[in-house]
Amino acid sequence: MKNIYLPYLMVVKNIIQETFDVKTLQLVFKNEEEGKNFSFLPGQFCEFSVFGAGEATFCLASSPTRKEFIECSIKKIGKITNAIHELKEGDIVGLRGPYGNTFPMDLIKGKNLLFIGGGIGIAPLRSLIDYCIDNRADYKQIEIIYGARTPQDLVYTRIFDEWKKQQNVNLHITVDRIVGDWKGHVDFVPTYLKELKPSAENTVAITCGPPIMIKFVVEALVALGFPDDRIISSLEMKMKCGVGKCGRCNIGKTYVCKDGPIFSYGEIKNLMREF
Amino acid sequence: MEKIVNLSRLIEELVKEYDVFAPVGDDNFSQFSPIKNLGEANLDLINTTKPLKNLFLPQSEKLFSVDGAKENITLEPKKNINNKRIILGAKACEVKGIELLTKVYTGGTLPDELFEERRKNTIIIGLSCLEPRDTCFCAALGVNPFEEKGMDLVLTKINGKFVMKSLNQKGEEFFKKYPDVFSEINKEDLEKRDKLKESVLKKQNLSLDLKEIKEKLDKEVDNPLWEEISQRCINCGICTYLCPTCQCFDIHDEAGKGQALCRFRTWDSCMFPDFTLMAGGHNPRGKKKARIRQRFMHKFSYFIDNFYEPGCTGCGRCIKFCPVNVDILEILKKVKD
Repeated sequence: MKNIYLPYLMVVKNIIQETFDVKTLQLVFKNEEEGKNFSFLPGQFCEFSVFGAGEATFCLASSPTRKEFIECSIKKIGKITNAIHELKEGDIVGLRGPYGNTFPMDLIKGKNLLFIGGGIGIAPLRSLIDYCIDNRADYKQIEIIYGARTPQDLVYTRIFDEWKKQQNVNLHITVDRIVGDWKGHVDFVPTYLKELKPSAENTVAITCGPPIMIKFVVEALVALGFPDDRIISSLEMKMKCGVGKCGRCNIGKTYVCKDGPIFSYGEIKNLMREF
Repeated sequence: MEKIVNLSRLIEELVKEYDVFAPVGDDNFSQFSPIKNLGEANLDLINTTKPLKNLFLPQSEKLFSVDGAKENITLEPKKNINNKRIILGAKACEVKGIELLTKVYTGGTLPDELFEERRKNTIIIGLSCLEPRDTCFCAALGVNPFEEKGMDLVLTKINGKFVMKSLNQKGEEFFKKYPDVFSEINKEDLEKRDKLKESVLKKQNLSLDLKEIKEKLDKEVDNPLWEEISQRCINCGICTYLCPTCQCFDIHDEAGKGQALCRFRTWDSCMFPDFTLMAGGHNPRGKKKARIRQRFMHKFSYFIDNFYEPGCTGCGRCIKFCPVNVDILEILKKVKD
């Protein structure tokens, strides 16, 4: 008999310290055959297990076009993430998934893409950014606005150069406040967005970050003329099963785990009636 | 087919081949437990304290054990969920609860094989409910005490005798397989049964316009009722634990002293403040009012949206066991008015 709660065993191949409290774990399947059959699309998530500590939900932060590793970027914030930060290379962890829907892959094809990320919220965006870069001909101009609290909180600085050197990809980095040596832009993400005034013409905006950032980013996007169905975001809720049974991630009749986590602003507006 | 059954002898036969479960206990506490003979069962209980869901979604269940440590970890999934089993003496509201849970657990793209396997291995011999409790309101939910849906066979107690009726092929086979335990039913008994049915249905005849209630619930997102109830509710969670349709569970790892590390799934409750608490501290249902609203909206609005019928069977347990007298029926009536 199969068991949907039985995770794949994964080997922690490499651990990358992104910031003082964010690590990226590069995972490979212990059983190669399982790895070959595992496929996902940007926007989907997984249940990550540290045996003994438990299971928690994280997005798949790597692009499915890059098959060497599955990557999860994890901020140390609670019981399970603390256990994840204790892991060493070579340790075995568990992974269930992929779960949930994906970014609207049909909608974004042939469009300009505007990515707006805040803090660790860049992780799900990164899966799609790399995916778009690897399928460059399918997409037009790519603008990435990314901000964090301080320069030390910026995740993925190690791949900024790779993004910047791509044709028709612009990366705009900002921080809320300066700590240490910083010559870049200083402002909150929504304010920077207003200043940059990207065109809504044939563009899909995709945003992820802290709820308060998303709120003001969406307001700014609406003011810039983005229609509701071309503002896309990923919602976060507490989950246990990931497959619509354990009963905690619903907002009204919608289960974020199986109906989401990716929603358009039009859909989110309807959901927010429930709060 | 329907015949008089010698229940005691039937059970003697059944236990040779099946695990047989029936209501066991008294008015203080009862649940569906394994029995070896009729004497162990209590078929006079109106309904058990713990709902039948415990046999499909156990209060606590091991999902797998973790052997080895660090780089040598292997997982040993739970095997062979259960033998073929018979549930005897389940009332209509219990069986309805399982039907509703089946929608949640076996629907969608990822069915829960643990639940599915249990459902598949189970034959249900229902029991007509002759004496609804004052907290019962199954009729309002479209279930009635004589409802037979979801059962394979059904028993009705008449004049101290049990009439057994088959409801499908699986049930029909019982009559062939155990011919010695059945005797022909006489006309008098049948008449008595019909009269009994009539009088029970008369007692349990509340009707509620659930469509209208759903419309009102959906329209008034911020219904003052939720605040009112939340002042009384102490979030003990008994309503959800004893609810035959409450589906929620938690997943966590435990290792007993000297035992292997195991991952368990255990019942959880939307009434608990940490149910939706996220690691960063954000809690979308941090307020009691939001949790109360979730419980009632889930049963009488969201469940209908997703599965086309309410997530309630009218068993009345939440009314009977609530320590502060939150009455779901009273709430539905208030919403309606």
